[in-house]
Amino acid sequence: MNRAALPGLLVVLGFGSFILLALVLLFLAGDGLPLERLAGRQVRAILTFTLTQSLLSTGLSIAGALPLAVLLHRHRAFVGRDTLVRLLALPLALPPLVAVLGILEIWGRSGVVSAGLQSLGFDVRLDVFGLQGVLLAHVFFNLPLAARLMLAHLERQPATTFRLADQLGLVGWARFTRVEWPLLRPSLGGVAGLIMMLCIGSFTIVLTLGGGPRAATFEVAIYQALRFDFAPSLAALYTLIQLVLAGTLLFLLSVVGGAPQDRAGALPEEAGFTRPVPVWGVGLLILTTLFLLAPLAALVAGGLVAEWGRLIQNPRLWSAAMTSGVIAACAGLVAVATAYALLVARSRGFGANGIAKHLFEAGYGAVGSAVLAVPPIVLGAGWFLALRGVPAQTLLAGGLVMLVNALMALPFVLRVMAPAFAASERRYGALSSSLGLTGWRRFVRVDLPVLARPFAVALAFALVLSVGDLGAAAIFGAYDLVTLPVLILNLMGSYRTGDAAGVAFLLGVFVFALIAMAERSHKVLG
Amino acid sequence: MIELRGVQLDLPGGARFTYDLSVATGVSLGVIGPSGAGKSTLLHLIAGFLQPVAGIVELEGVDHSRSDPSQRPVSMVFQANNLFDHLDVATNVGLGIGPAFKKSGDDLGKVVDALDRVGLGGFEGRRVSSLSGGEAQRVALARALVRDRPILLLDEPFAALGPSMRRDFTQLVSTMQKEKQLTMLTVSHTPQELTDLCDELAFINDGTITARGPVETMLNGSDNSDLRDYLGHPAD
Repeated sequence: MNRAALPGLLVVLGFGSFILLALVLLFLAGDGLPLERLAGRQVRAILTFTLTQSLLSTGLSIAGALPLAVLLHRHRAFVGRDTLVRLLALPLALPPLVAVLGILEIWGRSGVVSAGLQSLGFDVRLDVFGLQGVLLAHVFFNLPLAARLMLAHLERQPATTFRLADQLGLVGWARFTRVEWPLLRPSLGGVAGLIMMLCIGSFTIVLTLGGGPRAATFEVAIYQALRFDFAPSLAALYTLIQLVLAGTLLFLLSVVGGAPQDRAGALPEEAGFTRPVPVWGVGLLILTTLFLLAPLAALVAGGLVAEWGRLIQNPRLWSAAMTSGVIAACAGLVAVATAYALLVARSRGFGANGIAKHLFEAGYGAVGSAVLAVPPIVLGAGWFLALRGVPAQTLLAGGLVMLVNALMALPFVLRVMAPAFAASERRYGALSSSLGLTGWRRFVRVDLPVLARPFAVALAFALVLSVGDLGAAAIFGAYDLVTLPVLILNLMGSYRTGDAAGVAFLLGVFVFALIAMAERSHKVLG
Repeated sequence: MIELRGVQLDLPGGARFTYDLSVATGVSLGVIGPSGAGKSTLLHLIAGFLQPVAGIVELEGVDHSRSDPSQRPVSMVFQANNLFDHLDVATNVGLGIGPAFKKSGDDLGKVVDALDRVGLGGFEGRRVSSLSGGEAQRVALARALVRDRPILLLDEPFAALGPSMRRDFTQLVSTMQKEKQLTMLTVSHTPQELTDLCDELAFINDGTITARGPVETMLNGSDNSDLRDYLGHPAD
């Protein structure tokens, strides 16, 4: 081990302690775990709802994504294909609360669909609150994700496989059963596991669309136990169950080989397939586009008709924007700096082998993906209890939300930075070592200029995640910490949906501007 | 002077390379062998990019088996990526003097002299991206000049160059090696370059040096069957 390992080691120890302390604080706060409630009706109801909604969300998302991915892979030349592939990435970047508002505008009681049905003479008002609303929102987020993952999986197969299928005249159902399904099947476990993981840990969607205590995941239950009932022991019990659920799923995910990589749209042109899109395909493409675009369009429309004159004079909006901006900027910088320290330590800090390297690798993996097993709401819950009776609560709460957000962004930041860092190491690693470029000098002379764009892209992703996060911020809202998502939630709670739509529009514009900048950088990066 | 005694390196997959080698000061040794035989690995062990699991790497009489690459009396020119693309030519060469950000007037003079020596006078402010392959290799050589280490390792430095550039570059390296009495190891697949550059050749097969001798003997009169196969002179 050498000096290059130190910052990375400090990160692993620091974040590791941050996570462990959050859990310890939570478990010590109450009067012991109420284990007798494990078999109680409430826990059973939450468990049933959590598993039901996550299984159904996963099944529906995959059922919709499978034909879409196959279609997009088979037909590469139709007008709008690239736009649709990009549209599939949009929900991934959209803050959940913003999407929820868009979904309400379309599918809510006073939404576009209800109005349309009534104008056709049907006396129907859709009720989106409850399991159906949760499923709708989860499918809105996860169908595009699943489609992109499956499309990327197909695109990674050798082009000759599909050329051979073309040559043999395998089209339609025969092509699906003989070629595409056997190729996709091994990746489905990973895709399903990932979606299930996201749905089990769903907080914002269930909180806003669940429609009350009868529809709660464990994350929502933790929030409610702390914010409304102030029952730390119950929150600790729910945390324990959530950890077991997430841990089991993570383990199963690792057994099936993890989620495939998302690199849709990378196939060379010549591997394309130029038959016209069949009728069922045209229908599917139109439905998918409408399903994804309608809430976004409704958001824009809602934003444009908001009472901006009144809204921009509201000091709470500017205060929330400032709070969100500062927290997101700090979280982004911390996440990028942390990822850099981890990557440097991993690549330059240890010899080729040895116990220290293996231990660090384990720590790197744990910190890099901790947020999947220990979600933001759990981290926030532990530290929320620690702030009771402490002076400068709002400031400390802001710092803690920032740290939770940084940790939450870390897996995504690492995913952007690690390949670029590895490429730079392959290219300049030996040369830099032979010239004695280490530490600060290596950062300034080599890493910063070479990796400036991946750093910027990673920072943009971290900002997007942080600025749209409701999980940790919602818990700390009790300490007068109001971010933009918390403000939207408060406005929705007081039935000021017009104002909520306006703030959501602002947040959406900010997020899409960041994504557009990141996309441009990605293009330049190649 | 280079001395490798019982140097062993474990590779992923369980294979083990073992090197014993002695190269006297001022000798230019060419290293040949099939792809994957361990030629570049030998250079990387000497340069310190790889750490042996056993044995001694002695350079200029000092045990460097565990020392950092930058502490070794070695300069290395790679097949490609010898320069930092985002820095100008002078800064790339100046890094051979040391990693410090500021350079003295003397240091800058050395950089200018070295670039003159390799025929690139006036290129100081040029971006690396504007250089041809041959010019880039010359800049790397200029950096090796200012670095002024007694051992020079060349890992297929001509591979990316066209025939006339190869000739010029070989001549430049040969002159530099003789003037400075450098101990030099060159990995190449091209017999002509090795004939022009080297006093001796070593043949590596499966991670071990199995034959060594004067260039002419090795290329035309060796009785090592693996070497003859490699050169395309199968046994009669």
